[in-house]
Amino acid sequence: MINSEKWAFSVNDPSVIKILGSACEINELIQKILKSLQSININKTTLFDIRLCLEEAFVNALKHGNKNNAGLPVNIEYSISEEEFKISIKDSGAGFNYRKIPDPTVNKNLLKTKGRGVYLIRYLMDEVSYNKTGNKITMVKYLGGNHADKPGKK
Amino acid sequence: MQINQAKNKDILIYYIKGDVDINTSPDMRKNFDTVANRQEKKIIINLSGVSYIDSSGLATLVEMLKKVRKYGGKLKLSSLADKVKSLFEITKLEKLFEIYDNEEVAVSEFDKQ
Repeated sequence: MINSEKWAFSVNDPSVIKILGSACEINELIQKILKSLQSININKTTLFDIRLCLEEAFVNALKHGNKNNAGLPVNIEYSISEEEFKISIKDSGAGFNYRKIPDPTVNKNLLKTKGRGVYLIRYLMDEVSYNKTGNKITMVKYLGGNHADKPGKK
Repeated sequence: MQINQAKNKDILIYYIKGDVDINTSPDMRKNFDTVANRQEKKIIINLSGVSYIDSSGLATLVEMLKKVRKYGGKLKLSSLADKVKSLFEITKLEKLFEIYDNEEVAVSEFDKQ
C-alpha cells in the first residue's frame, strides 16, 4: 500500500517520484495524475490521449525495461500547468533504440501484434524524446494556452 | 470487462463491455478461444460498450482475427466509439478489419456475402 502523502502534489508543482515498479503502484499513480488533470478541466479527448500514453509508457517500462521485476524502481518526474502536461519515466533497464521498432502501420506489419504502443505515444503526444540510453522517455502534451492544436505526427 | 454472446441467424454477435487494456485483454483472448474452438464462421464483435482500448487490446483483436481467418471464418467489428475508431485509423488497422457503424449494417453485410 502506498503512503498517500508521498503522492500529494499540486498543479504547477513539479513532482519527482521514485517507486518500486509494481503494476498496482503505477496504476494508483496514473489515477492520481488523471484526477489532477480532470481538476483543471481538460477536454475528454486530451485526457484519453494522456491516459493511453501513460499506460503504454509504463507498461513498456515495467515489461520491457524492468523485465517484469517489481523490485526494480521506476523514476518519474512530472508537472502539470495550464499550458502543458510533461512527464519523464525512467526504468532500470538497459534501454532500447525506438528507431529500430518496425512501423506497425505498413501493410506487412498490420497482422503483427507488437509495436503499436510506441507508435501511439509518438502520435498522440505533442513532444516525445528519449535519453541516449533509451531507458527514459519524456512526453509532453499541450493543454491549451497559446498552443494551437497540433496535427501531430512525428 | 463483460463479454456476452448472442446469435443472429448463423452470425455470432460478440459483445464486449468495459475497458480493453493490458489488464483485461488476456481474459478476452481466453474467452474468445471458446468461440474459435467452435469454429464460428460469421462473427461480429460489437464494441459499443468499449470506451477505452490500448495497444494490447488492439493486438488481441488482431490475434482474434487471425484465429478466425485460419479456419476460414469472417470477423467484423461494429459500433466503435469515435475515440476507439480513431485508434484503428491511426494504426491503420481499419485496412485490416471490416468496421461498421452499427451491428445492423454489419449483419446485412454478412447477408449480402
